[in-house]
Amino acid sequence: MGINLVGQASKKEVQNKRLTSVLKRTSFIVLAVYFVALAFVFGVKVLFSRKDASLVLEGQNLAKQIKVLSASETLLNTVKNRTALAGKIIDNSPQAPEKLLVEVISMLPIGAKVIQVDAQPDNFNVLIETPDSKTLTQIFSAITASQFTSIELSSLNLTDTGVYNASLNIR
Amino acid sequence: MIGQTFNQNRPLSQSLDTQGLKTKTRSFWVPLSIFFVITALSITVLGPQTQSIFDTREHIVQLQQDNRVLVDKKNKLTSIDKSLLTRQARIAVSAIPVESSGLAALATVRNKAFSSNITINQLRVSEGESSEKDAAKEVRLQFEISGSLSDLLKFIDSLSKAAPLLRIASVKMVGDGVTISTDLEMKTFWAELPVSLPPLNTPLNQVNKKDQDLLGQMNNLKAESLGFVAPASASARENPFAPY
Repeated sequence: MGINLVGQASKKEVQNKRLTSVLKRTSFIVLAVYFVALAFVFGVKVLFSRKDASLVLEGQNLAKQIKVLSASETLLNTVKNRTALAGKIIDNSPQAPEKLLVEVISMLPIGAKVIQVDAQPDNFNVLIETPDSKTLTQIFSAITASQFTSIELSSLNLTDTGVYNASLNIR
Repeated sequence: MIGQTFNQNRPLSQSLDTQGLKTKTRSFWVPLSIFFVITALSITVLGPQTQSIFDTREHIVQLQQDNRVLVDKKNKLTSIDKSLLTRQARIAVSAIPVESSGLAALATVRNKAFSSNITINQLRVSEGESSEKDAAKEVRLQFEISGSLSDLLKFIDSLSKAAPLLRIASVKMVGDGVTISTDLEMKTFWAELPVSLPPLNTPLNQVNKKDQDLLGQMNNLKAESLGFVAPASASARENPFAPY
């Protein structure tokens, strides 16, 4: 029994040739597109590099111009440095010892005397002498009506001479 | 015989298969080569170039930002009133001097005490320690003073308005209601000037409202002149080093 394979082989060959041709063409098209994309990437790269270089140059020019103005910047830096330090030092709170001292003393009525004061940033103690209880009451009224956050009467004495000694812790 | 035929045919069929495979794969050689070329180019050229583009883009964005800051800084520095800034710097340095302010503070205390009828009995000056690196350095002044209550209050009030900056640390008063003896502890401050300017691309911090207020307070502080020390009177002896 004989089998003729020649006819089939030619058909396959034709099909193969066609397939090969399509594949080849497609591959070259893909390669061409790839090269175009590659060229585009290179183009973008060149553009970006130029832009980068021009910005670097612009920055260098600005830096030079700022260096010329460095005297003003130094002065400004000095002022800012000093104000930052002063901001930490200057105590604008009403708890400052001298402010409490002035405020308490300004409340004292005639006849009252300051015998002793111990004023520190976190503690203010004052010993007041009054000739009578009326003056003492006036002092207490004035102090309680003030803006102090804490008032503590630590001691109250009536001496042999008839004067009152009141010790107050104020904050 | 059958076995022989089988053995003879085997190499023939193998050669036919190889031939067929070659024929079949030949059509893929070109696409495969192109695929390999594209892959190789992608790895060696396209990938690094694309990465480089992204890096450059990031760099460009950063540069644009920096340049904007620099332009803003330049414009601000150009528009600054230099004479006003010089005056402000002078006021600020007068309040917090560049060198130890102990001597200037002593002069202030002495002059203020004199003008407030206060007697200074003892005076001690010591350098304080600052805990923070960038904080102002402290000089502590401790003195005993005596006078009337109103004079003492006047004295304390005048010190709070004097340059260099003086802060009261503690006040201890003991008195009979007429004359009061006071132990006063004060602090005065000094700090070296900044040695370097901030980095170029740091935005410029201008004098703001808070700084203006502080400068206003510092401007109200009055500096006292150090005065002079009277020279000692001349000795009656011609040669003070000669033996008696």
